[in-house]
Amino acid sequence: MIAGGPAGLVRRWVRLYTRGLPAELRDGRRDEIDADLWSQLEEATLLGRPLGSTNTEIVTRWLAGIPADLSWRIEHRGDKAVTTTAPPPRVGSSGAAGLGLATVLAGVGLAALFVLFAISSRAVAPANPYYMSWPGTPLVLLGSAAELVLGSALFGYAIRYGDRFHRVATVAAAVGGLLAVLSALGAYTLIGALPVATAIVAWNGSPESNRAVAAALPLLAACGRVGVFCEPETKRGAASADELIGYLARHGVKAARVPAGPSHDSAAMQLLDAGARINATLLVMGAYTHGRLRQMVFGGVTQHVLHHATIPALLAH
Amino acid sequence: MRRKAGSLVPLELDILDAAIALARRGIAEAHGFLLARELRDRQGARRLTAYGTLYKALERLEGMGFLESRWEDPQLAADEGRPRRRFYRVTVVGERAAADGRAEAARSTLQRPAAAVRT
Repeated sequence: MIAGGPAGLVRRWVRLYTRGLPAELRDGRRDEIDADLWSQLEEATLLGRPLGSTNTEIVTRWLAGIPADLSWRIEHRGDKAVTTTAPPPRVGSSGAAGLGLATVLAGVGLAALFVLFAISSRAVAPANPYYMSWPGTPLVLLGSAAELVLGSALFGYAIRYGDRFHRVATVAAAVGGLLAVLSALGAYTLIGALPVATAIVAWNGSPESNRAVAAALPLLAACGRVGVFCEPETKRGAASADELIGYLARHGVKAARVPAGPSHDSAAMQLLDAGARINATLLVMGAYTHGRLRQMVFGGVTQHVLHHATIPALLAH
Repeated sequence: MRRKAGSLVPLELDILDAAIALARRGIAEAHGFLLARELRDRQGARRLTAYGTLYKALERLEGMGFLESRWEDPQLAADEGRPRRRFYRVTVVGERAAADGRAEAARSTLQRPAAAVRT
């Protein structure tokens, strides 16, 4: 534990400039600086460095970073939703609580709509970061573990940040997704038991496919074989399939490019065909990389995969 | 420093390079202090990067999709009697951005003497 001295001073400063920010942001920054200070002091002890020089360095790092701390605080000022001096608004306890209750009701309504939408159309709402489709089920969603496990906490989150509609919409979609997961998981009790031996990664260089690869790295590392299918419409200037293969290799994943099938087929059909050719048991891809409108008009790879894939798919938006 | 949209400032490029170098040495994920130490060692600097500067840059890089982060299991940290750490990993897009950034920096270095001659 870092109690006093320059390290304690830095900790107090961090507590000061993070005060009143949303808990996740505030605690994240505090924990991160705590961990840094701890590591710095630990290393100094292990190397037998004089305490005086370590303290000088801590003070220097602190002072030099103050402008960045303040600008970071200003950037996140808009995120401020709850202060440390006042508790989060409670339903039914004040005027603000009316807003909180209305927010919760709106969130519940949105969540119900989302579940209906997901079950009836087997589609996904784009507000959530990760989804896992499963053949024969409406939808399986993978949010952060907290999103999936702590559904009730999400309602608390909705209450605390109820004055921001976009947050509520996101939370509602997450809660709706959670419910959809629970309904979908009736027949599939354990995602972790997914027998993944061969995976195919759809790559078009988009931020979505970048996120999908990052999310799937542990799964890919467990695969005996990974194929990379490069979509014909790879974004200009984006990382190529060869760069992706090199990246995967540096993370212990042996991957090889899978050539595209007949050119008259759509990108989605080519992707599924490529997966079938290598007997893939998992598909990893970015979702809705071209926008909803274009997907509606021209048809989209994501929609096609959700409707026609015969293997589980890890999608990231 | 003003920046062009999507471009990297020198510190961000240095962080990506440090993370890539660590990954090539088998450390696929690095916490903030490890990155600060790698930056100092690579640059031959005497001091570690300032706390505020470092963590603000890491947040920007994550926002741009060049880094991904995760918090370690708090129980693991508690068992070792230390604060929990946040680990960063360079994404494939981040590797590409670092390569582009290095190429751009090299071009700038080559063009600078020519500009000096013209003036």
